[in-house]
Amino acid sequence: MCRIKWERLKTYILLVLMLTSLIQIGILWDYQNHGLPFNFLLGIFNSTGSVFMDSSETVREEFFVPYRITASNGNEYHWIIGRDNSYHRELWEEAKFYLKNALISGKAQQSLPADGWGELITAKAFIFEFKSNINHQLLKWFMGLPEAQAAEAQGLHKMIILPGEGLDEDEVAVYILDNSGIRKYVFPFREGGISYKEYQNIIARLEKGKEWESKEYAVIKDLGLSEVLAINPDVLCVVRGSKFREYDSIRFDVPDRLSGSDEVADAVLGDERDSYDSYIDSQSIVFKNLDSIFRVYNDGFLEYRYIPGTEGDDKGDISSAFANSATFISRVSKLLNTKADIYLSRVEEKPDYYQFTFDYRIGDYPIYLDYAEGKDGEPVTSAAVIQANSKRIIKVRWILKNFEFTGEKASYNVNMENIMNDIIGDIAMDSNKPFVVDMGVSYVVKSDADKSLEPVWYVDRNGDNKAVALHKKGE
Amino acid sequence: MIVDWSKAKSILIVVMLLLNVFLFALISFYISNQGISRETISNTIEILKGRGVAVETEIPRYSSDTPSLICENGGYDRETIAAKLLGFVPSGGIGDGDVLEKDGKKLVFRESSFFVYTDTAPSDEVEIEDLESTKSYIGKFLDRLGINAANYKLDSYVRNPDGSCTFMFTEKYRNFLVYDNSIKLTASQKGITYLESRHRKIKGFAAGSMRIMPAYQVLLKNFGEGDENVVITGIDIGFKGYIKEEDNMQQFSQGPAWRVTTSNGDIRYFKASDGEEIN
Repeated sequence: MCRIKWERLKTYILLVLMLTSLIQIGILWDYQNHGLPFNFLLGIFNSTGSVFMDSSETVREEFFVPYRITASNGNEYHWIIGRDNSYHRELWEEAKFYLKNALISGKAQQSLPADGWGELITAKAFIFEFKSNINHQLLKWFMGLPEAQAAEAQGLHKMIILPGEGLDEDEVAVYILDNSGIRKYVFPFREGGISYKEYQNIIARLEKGKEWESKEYAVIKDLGLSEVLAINPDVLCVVRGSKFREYDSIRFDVPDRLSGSDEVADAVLGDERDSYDSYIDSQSIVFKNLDSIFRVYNDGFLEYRYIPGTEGDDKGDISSAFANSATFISRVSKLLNTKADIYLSRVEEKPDYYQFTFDYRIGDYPIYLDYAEGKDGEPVTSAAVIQANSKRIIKVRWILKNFEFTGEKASYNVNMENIMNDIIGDIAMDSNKPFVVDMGVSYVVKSDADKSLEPVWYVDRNGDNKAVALHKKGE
Repeated sequence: MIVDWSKAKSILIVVMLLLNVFLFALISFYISNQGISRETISNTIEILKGRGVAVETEIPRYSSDTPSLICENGGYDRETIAAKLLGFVPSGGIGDGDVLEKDGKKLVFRESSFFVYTDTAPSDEVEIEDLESTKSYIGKFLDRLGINAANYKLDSYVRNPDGSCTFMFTEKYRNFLVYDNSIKLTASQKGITYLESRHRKIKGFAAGSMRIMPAYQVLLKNFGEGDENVVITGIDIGFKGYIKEEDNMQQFSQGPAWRVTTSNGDIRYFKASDGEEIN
């Protein structure tokens, strides 16, 4: 009996010794990699599985999304397909498939001047719009295509899918508008994708569905106004049904997380945190190293400057510059706890760098910022402006704010005839007046004084913009 | 063949015990040397020698993760210091750059954490030839001003041609030097003739720690072309930051930094996080 117990004890001792030797081997293994002696244990217990996130892929998914998708029944009815609707994702997947084919396939079947766009959008079609033109290099990167694989220097500003246009039911026409004009491509329908019949069914559901009534519009081209007004023919407007539509107010605030210097450092500096010193003054947190300075003000204004500047630097390729910028945006966005998202609204090429502008959007409504001056004394007209080259970010100005709907809905008069009375002086055909690229219901932040905002009618004139108050029902 | 499991287990226990002892000794060696071998250090010295850089000091093997140091501004009580050094406190407060003078003594506060004091005719008695006695005198002098001399380490001193001695002290915080908290002081047989003191109030360490680039890597990274005939006489680790004093600054952090001293008196600082030189 005693011997059995002794043998059992020896077994336990042996097991313990085997385990401790394994642990010690692990510690030594980790030392060879200059890690903490317990990292290997943390690695075992804190395993996050085998999920490998490619940051480039995530960035593409996040930022390569159209500003707006609309459907037209070819009979003066247009619907905005909201981002919360399942059609949005399905249609965008189809569009990306045809876009990739257009880039790879080479020559377009036909080239058209840009002013032909007005005719195309009145057909039975699905329209995909980006806020500004994406040049062919950046587009290829968004599509995951290597430089050599894309045959044509095709950029993207807007795109139309015309199922069965003048063709048989097995083919789809795709029109792509960029800075150089319109190119037409014809492809067979995607195998396993949305068929000709399904496209027709989508339009039919939009025509019949009650829930789509508040998303129904006409375009300026339908009204015959694009010939007499300095306005894009594809601008959406309300001309039928009730003059009044219901919209929510929004409220905004400075993110709470900006008060925690550790959280701010993690988000803003990422892996480079160790190389920065920091200080806190009465109005900001500052992070500084040999050549960079970040300053995050208490009111949410973030500025970054690469101190050596860009002199003599090659700006490199736009895709790397955008990847740097978008990765930064994604990382710092973790400080926000917001119902709004941020989208790429403008891409500009400067002699020494690329400039990417980002704006906020809540639901399907843009939020425009219009501060007379930021903390640096310059006006603020966008959520974030990032100057970058392929190696690094050079300058950032970003207003960090949380936005959310208040739940206080009201009916506003959005009828084009009534709105036109307020804005006609600004959009009448006159070569001295700026061209209206877009209009619609939006929110405009002019100062931090009033943190609750009602919707306005916003006239986007490529920088020289104008906001008009909407009239509430009963006013 | 019949296996005697009892015997086998006993043998295995002995083998595993020996293995555990061996592994434990190995880990202890790594911990004491921070995982940096003697060969690495001697190879570094050889490489630097090939570049014309001589190392006449021990290269520290320190590489433990280290937190940043959190400091605050406003380290001095100006009124107390003025009262002790000059014997009076001006009405209306003491501003940056105000020159306070009395009986050959001059005091100027340049920033909230920096002042300079000179005395052309001190009247104490100091045994300047006796280093320990002089240090003791300096300690009492500083304590009288509200500066805790025990927190300062004597970094270096030189005997001047006129017989006076100039001392350089640096504040020590938990085994680390805080390079920006320093005192330069000249003592003669009559007392203190010059005092320059910089001090930022230390709040403590930051919560997180950062990985340290060992000193040998910093030397290999930064000493090469243009450093021929340089003789390194001192290497130590402490805290020094990129941030200079700015108005309105309430709290700031300084990362760990390596200080390298050369035989000609040059002092260079390098960020211990990435080895970049701090200018």
